[in-house]
Amino acid sequence: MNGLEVVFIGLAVLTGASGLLAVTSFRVVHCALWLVVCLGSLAGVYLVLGAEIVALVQLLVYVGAVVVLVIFALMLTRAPIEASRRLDAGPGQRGAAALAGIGLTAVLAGTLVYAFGDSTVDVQSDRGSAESIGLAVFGGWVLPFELLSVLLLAALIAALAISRPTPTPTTPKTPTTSKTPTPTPATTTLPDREAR
Amino acid sequence: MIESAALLTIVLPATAAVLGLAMGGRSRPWAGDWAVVGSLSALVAAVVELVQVLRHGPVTSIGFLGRVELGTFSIGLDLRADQLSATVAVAVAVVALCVQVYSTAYLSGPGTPEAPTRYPAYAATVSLFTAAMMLVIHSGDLVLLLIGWEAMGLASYLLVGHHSERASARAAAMKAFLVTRVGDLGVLFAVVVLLAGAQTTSIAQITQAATDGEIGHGTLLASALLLLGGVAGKSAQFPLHTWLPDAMEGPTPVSALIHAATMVAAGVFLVARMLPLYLAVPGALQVAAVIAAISMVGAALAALAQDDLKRLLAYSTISQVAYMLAGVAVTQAGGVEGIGPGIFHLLSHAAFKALLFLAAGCVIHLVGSTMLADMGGLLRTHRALAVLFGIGLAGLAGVPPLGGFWSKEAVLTAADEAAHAGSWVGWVVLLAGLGTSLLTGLYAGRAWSIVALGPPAGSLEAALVGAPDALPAIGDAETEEPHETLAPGADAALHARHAAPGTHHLPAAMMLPLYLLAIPTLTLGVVLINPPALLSGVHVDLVTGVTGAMLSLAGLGWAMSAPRLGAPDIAIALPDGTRALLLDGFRVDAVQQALIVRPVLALARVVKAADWSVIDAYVRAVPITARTGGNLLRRAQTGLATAYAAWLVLGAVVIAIAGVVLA
Amino acid sequence: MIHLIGPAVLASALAGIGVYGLLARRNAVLVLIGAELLLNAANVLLVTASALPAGGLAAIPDPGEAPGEITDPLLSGQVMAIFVITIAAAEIGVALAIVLLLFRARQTADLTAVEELGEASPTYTENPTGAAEPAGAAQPAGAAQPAGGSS
Repeated sequence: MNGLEVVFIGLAVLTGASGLLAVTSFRVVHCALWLVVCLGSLAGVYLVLGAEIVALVQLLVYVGAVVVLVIFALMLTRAPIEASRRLDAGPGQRGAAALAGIGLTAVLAGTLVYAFGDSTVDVQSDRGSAESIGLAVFGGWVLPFELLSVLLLAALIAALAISRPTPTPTTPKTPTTSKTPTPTPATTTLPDREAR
Repeated sequence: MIESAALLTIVLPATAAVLGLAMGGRSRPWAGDWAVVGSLSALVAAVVELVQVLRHGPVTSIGFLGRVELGTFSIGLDLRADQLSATVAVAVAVVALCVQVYSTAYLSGPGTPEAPTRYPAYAATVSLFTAAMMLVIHSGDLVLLLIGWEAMGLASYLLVGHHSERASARAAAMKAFLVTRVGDLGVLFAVVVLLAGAQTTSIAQITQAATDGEIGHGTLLASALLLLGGVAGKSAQFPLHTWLPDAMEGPTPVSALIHAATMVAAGVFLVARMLPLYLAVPGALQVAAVIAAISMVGAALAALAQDDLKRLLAYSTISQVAYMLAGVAVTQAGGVEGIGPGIFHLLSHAAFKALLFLAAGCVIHLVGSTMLADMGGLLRTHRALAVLFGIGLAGLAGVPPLGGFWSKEAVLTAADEAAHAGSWVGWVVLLAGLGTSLLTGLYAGRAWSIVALGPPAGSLEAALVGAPDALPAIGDAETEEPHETLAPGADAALHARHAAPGTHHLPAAMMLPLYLLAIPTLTLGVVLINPPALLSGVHVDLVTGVTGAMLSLAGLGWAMSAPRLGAPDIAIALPDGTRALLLDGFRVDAVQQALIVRPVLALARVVKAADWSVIDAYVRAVPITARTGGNLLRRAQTGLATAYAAWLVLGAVVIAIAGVVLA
Repeated sequence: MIHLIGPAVLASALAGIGVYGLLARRNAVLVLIGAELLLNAANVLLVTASALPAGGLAAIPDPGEAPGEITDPLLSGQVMAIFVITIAAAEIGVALAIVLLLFRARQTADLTAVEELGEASPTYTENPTGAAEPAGAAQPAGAAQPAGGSS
């Protein structure tokens, strides 16, 4: 067991623990923050494995953008600030989820461990350097790269389109009684859901 | 010639039945025409057959429906024409013709909405019955005989229940069918036993093999006793006699044809046909004789206390058929001579009983009721009818020199000879026969005295003379326990509109058959002067004849002296309890109800309950299971997207594990 | 020089945790967090795979022997990991847009607010009309009522 492995194990434990906390915490903000820790330590793992650029992109995109998006979404959807058990689904659902999770872990770990066995690999950091990755991306992977940019564009447009408010027609404001009052949070389900 | 004649006796009435239904379905005159033409032509064919057989001898195998190959057996559905079949065929055809002619008037008009006559169906069924009876008579094979036997049972059921709008008629028809069915099972099993034991069902072969001793004793005894069961059922002998009094629910001409002259005689006919079989195994004949003796005396006693004319005649039929059966049962010699007395009584009974029933039908038509209490004074109001009725009663009682006297005394003589030859059966039959002679005279005289003598019913004289005294006695019997009377019977309902005594004129179609039937009733004895081979065994011993005649006349006189007691009915001399018992036919019905009907119904209820709760439960469980399963599965539809995703992932994990493990 | 089972186990564990997070949460955004973890597990595996020689697992020398030359000019594992990250970003953008839509419709990001398709739901109706109207189903903000508010 050399130093690399020790570092790896430490980071792995950190990743696992923070991931677990991220999915089981009762406060939404804590979830987001634990997610940051998790993703950050994953970047560390990538470094250990010699993938420098991947670690960098992970930090930039995941931690920098995705988590921020998540936090923004939490804000916009008025997520509860206080500790709330309402974040979790019912016990039956959670049991099934746990079962699914454990099952998946077991299957994957079983097959992978059986496949990998005791083999070891050498980690070379120059394989993950910016130069080699750049050469690879703009060399062999240029077409998927371009497609990816199209994908990003599509996602951008889609997100815009979805989240635009539906346009109101320019009709004179009729004195008819609307079926429901325009969206007031008062109607709601929120108190109902409290009961659950 | 003989072959075609025999065939035609069967085919012509059957055709008349079909055509009568097809063409006469809507039109009464057509239906009537076809019916009468059918029976007339059957009569002609039967007479031709008789003449030919007497001249040329019998034909033992006439192809009819070919052969049926059943593996190792081969059943030939052939007919046979001999003296026995020809004679009985003539008797059947004569009675059928009389009945058809009579019915055109009896069931005239469309009837009332509560009691429609439905004449075309009726006439066709009577023709069908005639064809079936002819088939039984002419059949040369037991299987063919069974076919005709069952067809007769069907026709009887249809005709007894003809007025099916009445619940009592339906019940009576069902009872007749079921009770005779029990007997028919015996015939069926006998056929099976014979097929197994003698490898054939041909009557000629069986009788020959029985005479030669080629059939095993067990087979003989079993088949003989089983056939006897069928005989008891069809001929209404104890203990399967209970259907006959109730079968009087049918129209009176039906009673005349089926339940007096022909079908009930078919059982006796069967024994006569299979006589060699019975002679080879004497135990069966002894059983038959005992049954006959019991039926003879019991039915005659019951007839004494009946308050309904048709039921009286029904019990009388049971008694007389027992005479026939006894006549055959005391046979000691083999061959044709042995059945002489029984068959002779069959023929004379056909004549006088048909005459009696048709005359009774006329009386019912006039009076509008079948109850004896409503009748009286016929001699004054309708002399010709009364005289004919009296002739029939005289034949029944065996008054010399009518045909009935000769036939009855022939039976008693045969019994006497058998008794003196040492057989105990002969003694039983002789004593029972003598006793029944007395009783027959009694009830015949009773019927005459009530119906014909005295003042007309409902008139002032009747009210003064003593009818009221009689009424309480009859009334008591009726109120003691309700039993199936025919009041107001189907006949009564049909003819109630004519209930104005003394004023109605009977149509010629109803009177003519009576005259026709009176002839053989009066003159059948003439045949004995030069009898054919069939009746060569018939002779009357002087002592027996005189004794029998004395007893009958004594009975008649005693019954006709009843008015000195205050009422025309001799039965009031009986104590009330006895009278009620006799009226009820010795409560045999109640016994059957308790022993058989109730257990069967209980078993039926058990089966029904088992079917509902055991077998049907599985069927009913199917939708319940489906519904419950569906409701359970419904719970999985929570609507929560992640719940569905959970199911997905779990499923994928299971498949992955399966794939990994199996790979 | 690291043993390969380390990253393998890490990836499996992260996958399990991610699935749990995906399925056990009621808040829509938290569900997406679980999805992210799942994606990251895949990424770990990809990066690990990039450390393998070109012949894959089979080309790994037995322990004790000198490790062979690692040749994979395409660096597929790492490149694909980058791509996955990109795709994850795109996906969460769109997903969060949908969450916002849900919030606008039901004033809550709770997934149990949209249970109309389920039969066990108290708001379940047998014959939902075009715009089903369970309690609280408001039209989207400024909804078009008169002229065919199509949905």
